[in-house]
Amino acid sequence: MTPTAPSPSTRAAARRSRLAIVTLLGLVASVAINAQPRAVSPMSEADWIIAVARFVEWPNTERRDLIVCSPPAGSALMLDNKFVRGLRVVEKRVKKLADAKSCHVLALFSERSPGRWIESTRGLPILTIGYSREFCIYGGIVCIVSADDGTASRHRINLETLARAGLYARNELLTPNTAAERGGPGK
Amino acid sequence: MKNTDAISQQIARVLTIGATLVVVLCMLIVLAVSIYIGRESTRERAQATARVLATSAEYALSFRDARRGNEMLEVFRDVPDVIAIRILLQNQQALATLDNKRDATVAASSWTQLLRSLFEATSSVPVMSAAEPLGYIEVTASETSAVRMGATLILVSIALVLLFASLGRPVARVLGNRLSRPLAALSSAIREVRRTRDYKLRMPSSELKEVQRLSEDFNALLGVIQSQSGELREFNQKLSKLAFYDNLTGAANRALVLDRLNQLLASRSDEVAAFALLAIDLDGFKQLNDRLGHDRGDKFLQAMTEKCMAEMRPSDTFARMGGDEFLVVLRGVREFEEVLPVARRLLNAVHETNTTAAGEPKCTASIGIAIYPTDARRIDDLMKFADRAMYAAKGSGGNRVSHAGSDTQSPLSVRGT
Repeated sequence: MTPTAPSPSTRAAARRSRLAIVTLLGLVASVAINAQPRAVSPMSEADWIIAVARFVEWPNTERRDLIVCSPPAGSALMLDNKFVRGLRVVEKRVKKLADAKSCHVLALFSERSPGRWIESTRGLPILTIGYSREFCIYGGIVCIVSADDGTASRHRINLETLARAGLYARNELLTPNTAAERGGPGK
Repeated sequence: MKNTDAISQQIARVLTIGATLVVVLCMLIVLAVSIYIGRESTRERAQATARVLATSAEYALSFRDARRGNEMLEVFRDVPDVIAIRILLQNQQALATLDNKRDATVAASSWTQLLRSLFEATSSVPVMSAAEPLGYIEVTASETSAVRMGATLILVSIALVLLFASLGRPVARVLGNRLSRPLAALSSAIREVRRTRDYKLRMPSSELKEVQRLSEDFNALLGVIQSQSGELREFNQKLSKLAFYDNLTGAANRALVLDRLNQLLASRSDEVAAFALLAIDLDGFKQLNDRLGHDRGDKFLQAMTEKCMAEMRPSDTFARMGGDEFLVVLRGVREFEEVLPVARRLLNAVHETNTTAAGEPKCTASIGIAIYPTDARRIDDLMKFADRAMYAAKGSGGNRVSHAGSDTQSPLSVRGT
């Protein structure tokens, strides 16, 4: 058979096909690039408070607000107008130990000596939360610690002080934290 | 000759292309419907899976716990219909991802993968904590059975197309023969008509409506041709008669008698060509015409011609040259004695044409005879001699026969009875 030269219409069709394929590949590539998972941003102190509060129940169910207190040291948590399980979060700065008794959550992230604050809330339904393993040893309920591999933060629960405070934690909160801390003022 | 295809080839082509188009179209429709149904079914399954995951993803999303998220998703590792699952934060960041597609890509061929992608569906379900959205579970699933069905459908379609392509030619040949047979018969009949020019022939009837109509139309056309051909023949006959015969008496005219004389002279054998030329002129015809009118004169000429022709052989020619002048060619005669009886009978025939009514003018004939080849060898000369003899007969009182040979100046006259 004698080979024949492609007609102009055939060449135009081939050019259009190539253009369509290139466009399609471009679209696929852009979609693939967009689909690349972005790195999850680290949790802020406010995120920790909100996350933990979702899995904790306070004995008084009549309240409408969740009062999150923090000592004057450190910057504001920026929790106002957030909601946790339908409760509006109200951020409050407490200067005196006695003022902390009206709080639902006492955030002691920036406090150098959290022990006295923990002691003042002992037996009250106040969820204390702070950094380091020592925080739980002092009797704090939730301590934020670095993960074993050092790449992320994880939380630990002091089950004794949790129970003594009369708070109820949902199973999900407890399951990954089998090594609950013991000791300290909560003992 | 123009390059043409047989009907069977045309049918084969149409059948193959038509069947292929129908099969491909049906395949595409069924594939589209199955893709739609498959995708809907897959979407529902993906949504159900996402809902299940959403109920237990609150913790992972709240604490952005990728490890917990991945542990949840690991349950779906290698589940055939699950392509991918993602746990997404509110800001669309992926907390955990399960991708079964990579393994499938290695195992499956590219076209199966393409089919699979057609049946894929993605469903996204929000993860809520009370009324607060935490993120999403996004499940991409595929219907394995639908993919298998689609692949089977495509294979069956290809097989059907191949089957049509291979069966098209023999089926088309059968159909083509069935169609072309009456056409071939029609063509053969048309050729026969063209060859024989017999317009009474008619085309055969056919079971095929279109061929039957064609046959009927052609028969009608043949009828028209036959009718026009008959009319043309009749017209030609009339034309021929007008050209060679006298319109009043029906006797041959000058053109015909001269033609016959030329034919006789063209004969090589004198034996065959010997003939006598008789120039006839009526005596007293002018008086008859003047007294009784042209109608009677015409009727006399007609009656006289009829009687004279009755006295002659079919091979002889009786021609009217104009007015009351006639010319007779008697074939195969050489001697005046042979001509004389015929000439006398002609004189009698003219005489007998007259009516018996008293007082009416009577007509007789004067006949001059010239014989070929004894008197002359040229037509002009023969006619001149015959005319001269005829005038001699007329000069002698009419109702007379004269013969003027080429060597005699005084004609030999014989009076009629």
